[in-house]
Amino acid sequence: MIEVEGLCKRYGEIVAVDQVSFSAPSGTIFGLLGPNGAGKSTTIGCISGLVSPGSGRVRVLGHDVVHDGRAARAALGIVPQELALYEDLSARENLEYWGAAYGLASRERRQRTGEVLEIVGLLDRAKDPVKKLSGGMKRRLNFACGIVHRPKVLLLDEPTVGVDPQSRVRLLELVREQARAGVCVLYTTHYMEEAESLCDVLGVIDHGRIIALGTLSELRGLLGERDLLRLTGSFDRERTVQALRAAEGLAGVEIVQCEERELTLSLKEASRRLPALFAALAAAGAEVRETTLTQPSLESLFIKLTGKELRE
Amino acid sequence: MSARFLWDSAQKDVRRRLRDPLALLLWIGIPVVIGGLIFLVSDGGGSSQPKARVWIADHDETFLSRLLTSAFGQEQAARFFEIETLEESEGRARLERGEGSALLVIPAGFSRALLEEEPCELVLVTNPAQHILPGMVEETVSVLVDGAFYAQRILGEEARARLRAFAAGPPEGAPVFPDQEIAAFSVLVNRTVERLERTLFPPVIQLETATKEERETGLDFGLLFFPSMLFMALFFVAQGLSDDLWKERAQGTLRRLVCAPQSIATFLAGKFLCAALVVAPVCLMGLALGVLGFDFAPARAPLALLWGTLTGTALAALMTLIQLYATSQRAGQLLTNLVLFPAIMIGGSFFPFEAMPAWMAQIGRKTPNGWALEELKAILSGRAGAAELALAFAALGAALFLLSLLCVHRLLRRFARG
Repeated sequence: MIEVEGLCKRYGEIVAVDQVSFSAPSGTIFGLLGPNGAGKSTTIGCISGLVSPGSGRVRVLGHDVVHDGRAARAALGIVPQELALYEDLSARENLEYWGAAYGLASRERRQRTGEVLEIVGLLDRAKDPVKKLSGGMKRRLNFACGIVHRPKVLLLDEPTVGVDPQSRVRLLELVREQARAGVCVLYTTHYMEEAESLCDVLGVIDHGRIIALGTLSELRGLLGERDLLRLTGSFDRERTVQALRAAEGLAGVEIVQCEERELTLSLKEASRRLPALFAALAAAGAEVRETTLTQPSLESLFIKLTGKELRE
Repeated sequence: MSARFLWDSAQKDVRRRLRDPLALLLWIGIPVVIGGLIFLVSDGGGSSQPKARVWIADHDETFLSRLLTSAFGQEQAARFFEIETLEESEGRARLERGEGSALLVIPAGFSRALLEEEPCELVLVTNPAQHILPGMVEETVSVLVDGAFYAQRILGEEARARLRAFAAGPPEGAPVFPDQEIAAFSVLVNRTVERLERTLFPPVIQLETATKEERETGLDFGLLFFPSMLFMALFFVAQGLSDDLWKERAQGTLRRLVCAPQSIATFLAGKFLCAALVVAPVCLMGLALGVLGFDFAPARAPLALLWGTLTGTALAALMTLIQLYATSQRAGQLLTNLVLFPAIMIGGSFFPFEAMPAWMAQIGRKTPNGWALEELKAILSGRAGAAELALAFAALGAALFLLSLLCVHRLLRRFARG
């Protein structure tokens, strides 16, 4: 498991990571979600030993990454955001070398290389130089290099950036397999849908601080379970606002936006309250042509917590 | 340090090098091309001896003038002279064209003048474009004329009478001299030599010849230029190998390695072991050329190979260290060039120290590569003693170790984490 307590890292005046604390047990996928520059990669760097922590403590399987770095690193597998492969070596040669870098003996290395190539679906391309593989294949090989030594903890730093949808699905499935095998996975991403579908526990990070931490349902609860309802058509602004405020059964409805052609509302249990809503709008002379209902999501949570969209 | 991972790292880098065979061939080709050029420039090897081409115009055409001519072709002199008898006008024309070293004109009446001890002038026309070879011809002619004068004095009046008869040519009607006359002259010469032996041997003055120990054994054209060229090749190979850490950084493998439990020192040692495995064939090729083309003693080649390989590896470490202090791969290339070219120029790898002004050679020999080059020359010429060699190898090993430590320090502190 990974334990991070009060982790801080500064680069001069810039605070990259500020009092970050979380723990991720074995067999779970812990997602670290945040926009670019939020501090995700620095946090991963501190855990992997690539970056020296300014203060705080990081332990991997109980080994302090600063004082017992070698043991901590031996337990870790890394899948960096950028490819980290020898382009002029074959897929098998890459895996064998990274196996050696993690201390696998020759025979075990050969056996494990074959297994991992099969897992990532590259057995038939084992002898090809990496430079001849497609982008998706390289991503899978990059992942394979991170798991070739059977790590107990796997760090994945935005592994699906720039990956085609088919390879992304395959990669995410590989990550789930690792978690099912008891590996503690720390997964950073700025893709909401990826985090929602993959992670058991999520930490939302922004400006180097964890601003929300919990399971997906716990985080959704932070939104107060308000749905977002978007209606298009033709609306008289004044009459519509009056009708919505006066209508029975529509208490607590928040008008986010009201324009001539679009109306956006935030409300609890929107689907149950749709008939009352349509009746009020009809009474106000509004004509509704299209309705879109969005349930609470990480995207809306992030907007609520930071006041900005995740991809900004 | 894990020996297993060290070997795995070196093997990985060797494989990567082998995937780029053109670069490898170019590196191995550097000493081959340079060595080949030196071989051609040095007229086929360092052991070849220059010969003076001497044209002889013999207007006397007597027994004694032919004796003088043939003296140039005797065993010892034949090593230095190539003789051709021709017409004087032809000889002068050839000299005009810059051919040959000298023209010796033996005037008519040479034999008579020699035997009668009358004045006689031998004309020696030398080629002004040459300096040493015409001088050798002049000295030799002078010695031969002196020798002929004293010989006829020692042989006495009877022999001189017979020589006069020989100089006059065979008796009328006979194509050659009668056998009894030649036999009589031979007996006369033999008796004279026997008589002289009683006077000369044992010699009253004993001359003891002590040969000064030759310090510059085999210091010839090949030894002058070839080690320099080999070192130049080693410099280029070392520079070519040194930017590999930039490539590792660019492809992300360096960062991945920092996160692995194996030490970065082992990884770097693997790189230097790979450098040694690349440098060794380059040295081997160069030394093979040296043995075949410049008569280097094959027995000294293994030690020279070891020295060249160790030096090449140390140069690769030095270049790597310079690269690690650069801000970009391009800056690294520039920085290594800034070090490489002055080091080659002043360190005797471009112009041999022997061709430099004394003050510059003195500085050059004190540069690290200049010192290493001098050691290589000492190994190839066989003048390096065991103690000196042991000290030199220890110093070079220590330098390589120190450079490696500095590289690891720089790599871990900044470069690998950048």
